[in-house]
Amino acid sequence: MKIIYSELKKLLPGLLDKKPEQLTNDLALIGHFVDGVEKTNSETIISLEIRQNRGDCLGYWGIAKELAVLYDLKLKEPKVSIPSITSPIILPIIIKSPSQITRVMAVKISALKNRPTPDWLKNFLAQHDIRSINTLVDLTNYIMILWGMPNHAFDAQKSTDQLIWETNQDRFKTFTTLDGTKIQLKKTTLQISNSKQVLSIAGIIGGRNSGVELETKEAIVEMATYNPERVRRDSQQLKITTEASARLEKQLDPNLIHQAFKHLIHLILKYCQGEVTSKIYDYYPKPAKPVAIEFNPQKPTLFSGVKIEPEFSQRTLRKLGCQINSKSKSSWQVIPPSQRADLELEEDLIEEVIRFFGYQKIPTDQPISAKILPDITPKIIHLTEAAQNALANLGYDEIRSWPLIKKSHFIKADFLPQEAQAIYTQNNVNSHYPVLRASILSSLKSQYRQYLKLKIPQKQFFEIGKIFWKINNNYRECWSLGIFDQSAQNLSKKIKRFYDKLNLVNHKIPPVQKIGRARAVEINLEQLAKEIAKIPKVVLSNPPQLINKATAAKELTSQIISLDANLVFPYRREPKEIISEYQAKFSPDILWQLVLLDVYQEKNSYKYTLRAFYYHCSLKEAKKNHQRVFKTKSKKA
Amino acid sequence: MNSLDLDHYSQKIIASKTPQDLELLRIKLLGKNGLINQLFKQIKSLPLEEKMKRGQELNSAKKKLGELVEKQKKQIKIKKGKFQETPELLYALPKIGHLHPITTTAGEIDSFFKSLGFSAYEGPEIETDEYCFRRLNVPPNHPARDMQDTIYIKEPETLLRTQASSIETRLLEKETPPFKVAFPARVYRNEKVNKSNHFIFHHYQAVAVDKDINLKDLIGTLQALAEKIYGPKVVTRYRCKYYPEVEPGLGLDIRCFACQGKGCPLCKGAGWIEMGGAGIIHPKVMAMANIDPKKWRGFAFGLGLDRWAMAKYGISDIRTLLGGNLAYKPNQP
Repeated sequence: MKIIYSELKKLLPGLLDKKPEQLTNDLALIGHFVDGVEKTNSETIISLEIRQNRGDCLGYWGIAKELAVLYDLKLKEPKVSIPSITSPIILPIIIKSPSQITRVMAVKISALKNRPTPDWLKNFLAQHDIRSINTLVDLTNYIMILWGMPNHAFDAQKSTDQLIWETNQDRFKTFTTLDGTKIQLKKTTLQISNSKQVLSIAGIIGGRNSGVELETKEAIVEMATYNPERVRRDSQQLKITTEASARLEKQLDPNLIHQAFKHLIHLILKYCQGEVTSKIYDYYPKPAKPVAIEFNPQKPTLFSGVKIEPEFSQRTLRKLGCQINSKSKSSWQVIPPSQRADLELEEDLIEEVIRFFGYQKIPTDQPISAKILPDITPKIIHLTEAAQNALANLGYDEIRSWPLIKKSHFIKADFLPQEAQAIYTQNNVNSHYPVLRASILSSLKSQYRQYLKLKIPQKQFFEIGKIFWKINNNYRECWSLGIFDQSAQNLSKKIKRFYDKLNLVNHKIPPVQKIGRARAVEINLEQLAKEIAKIPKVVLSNPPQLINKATAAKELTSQIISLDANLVFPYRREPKEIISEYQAKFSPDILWQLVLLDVYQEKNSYKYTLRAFYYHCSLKEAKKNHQRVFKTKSKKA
Repeated sequence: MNSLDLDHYSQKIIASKTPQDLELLRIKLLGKNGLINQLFKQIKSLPLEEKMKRGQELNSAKKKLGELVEKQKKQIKIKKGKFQETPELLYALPKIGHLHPITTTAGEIDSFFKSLGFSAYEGPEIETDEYCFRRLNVPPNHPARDMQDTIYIKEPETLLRTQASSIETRLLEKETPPFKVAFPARVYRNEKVNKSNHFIFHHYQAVAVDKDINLKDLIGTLQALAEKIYGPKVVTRYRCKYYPEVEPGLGLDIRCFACQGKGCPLCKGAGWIEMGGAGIIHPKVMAMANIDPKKWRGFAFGLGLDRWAMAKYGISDIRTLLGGNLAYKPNQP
């Protein structure tokens, strides 16, 4: 919802001394998040994210009311005057779906002189990203934005007077919208039709067949409120979202129609002339009944944790338009105004009081008490933490991958029952990944393929995550651990050490699976949790050191480059010493790893072949660094 | 030396115990000035026919010895902790293992909550509509469902959880107050994967239910957490915000890092970045879990973990976190 500051001031003249920056901050604090501020030479335009349950704030009027409460200002309602209506003509309107419609007001205006839109209105709409059509149509949009109440004008000569609010029931197949889009109607679509054709999708968009044009001389103008769920469903089913549907799929106040509709007639008569040639039609069978809420004025204090005087609560609720009947010191009966359909419970009123009191006045230096309560942490969480640390201590890197996988990558964990079946998603927009993994090995394989592409040396990693399967449409999931190692021998040895760290002595090693030349195992962690009496605490021996983001974790966007270098020394040297010495000569931003490949003894010397792995650089950069450090020509490995 | 005792040298290769011994033997036999090359030099002067015959024998022996050396390299047991067992390498510094950035970021938050006496918790990733929505005061067709495009297993009842609050509903149903619980959780949304959106991401949720919990407890806890993660100078803002499962609800904003509140493309001119949502648990949510809202009150909050982890680790593409392009330098903690 966009708000032009100068337009807002017309409703709240007292805002004159408020800077836009203060206004946006204050609006955010009371619940209307400002998700953008645009400044032009003469205007400040504020983009507001309106709360899901505050349909009343989808117009300038609603926002102005909020600010009037906050700043204790008076609202200035637009001046409206309509000549007395003498026409005896009753519009032939039929409401066939009363359960979907809460209120309809409509009137016919004849002898119109529709014309190109005046500049002020054109600019206003442009700043709200609405295309100007002609004066009459633009006025309907202006009223929608000002009051938050959508409405529509039909060319009466095209629509032939009769307007029927009904659900389609398969009577009509298609409908062409004002912008020329042809849509397939559904059986349940709520529409406005005459006996021959659909003229509008109720609350969403009008039709080309009855659209108002410059030549239009007679128009029927309507403003209505609906069952918001119906509008929302139609909008979703027909895949059309409009400014009108965005408002009407929220709870709007039928009582506000009266003011907004009269303002619309006033403006049409002012800018398009014409005269009212029918009685004002008003369908409002069940006027909104106010609901009384029991309210304890001590509760805002109890909920906020700071003293909020009952007088403040009373003043705030009254400014919001609530009626208050004080039954006792601890119990008031509060009746919210009709536009605040979101106020249903005592907690809703408590929030109203606290938000105008100010969340910013609640102290920030008193966190919840650290009193000890029984530890209800499930055993599996202790186990996953111990397993993560134990494996990292053994030199394995943790990966996290997608539990949704390609159909071709699907495999089942060894320990799953034979009858376990794959679980498919129904509507995943990432359609190449339709199935939930039933083995963590499918994730390890994907990671291995990716590391091969990136040419990463020393591939040793693990993943802990859920795997999923179903048996007779009963959905199951369990925690699983997968460990991957390039070396089969290394893997078996390390798994033994892993079990030792978890106090599982002589535990059977699970079946080792081949993945290319590498090996992997999968362990059912939930089964393991049952076998360990008390999960030991395992501390991470090399915790990450995040200094200026110089972490070991790297986002690789290109392959690792490896170059070999030969170094000759007159005496034998320890490999560790050589690697440490040469590693220090590189920037850590380019060198991934340095390893020794070969030692060659010659008559009076030792030749060492080193391999340097470079990352985040081009081959040219890698070679340049290689030459600088090794003073030798590089040889691509 | 004019002949080669192939069996003798084969035995010597097989008997080599260390990489160094094996390397010396390889140099002695197959090196530039090794035995095989010396023998090749000797046959140069032989008649052509004999030269060809001896040449073939030497080539065959060279090949066999070379293969044996390679095989033995793999067989040699390399000293623990000093040599890596990958066949390509003779020596590398011991590899350091790493935890995933999501794990370490969540771990930091875990330790903060542990110090305040919180437990951890978990729940199913395949959820029902009831626990993921209805018990959070989000009935069918509620507009809040718009924000949470759901991946269904079997519409409309079985789905992949869209929020960590589904674990909260299980917690409220199963446990008896008072309790304090904080946990990370993987969640799913039906979004196209690109640089800044993913259909799988992580929430961090905290829930506390006791007799006199209030917004001061909640805001104080959020502030302490923000200071733990971003340092004591972090500038925060607490404002009213709507979430169906809480009432009153609040949003936590942090002053934009990029512009220090002046307004920039990152914060869309607002000067603030939204970090999470929170509030006092809605009485309907409590009542649906058979907890008397007149007797007990609780707070709940949820934060997105991925952005925190990305900011902390300098990761620019959300796909890196779960997609395979994340790797760890083997010798850096």
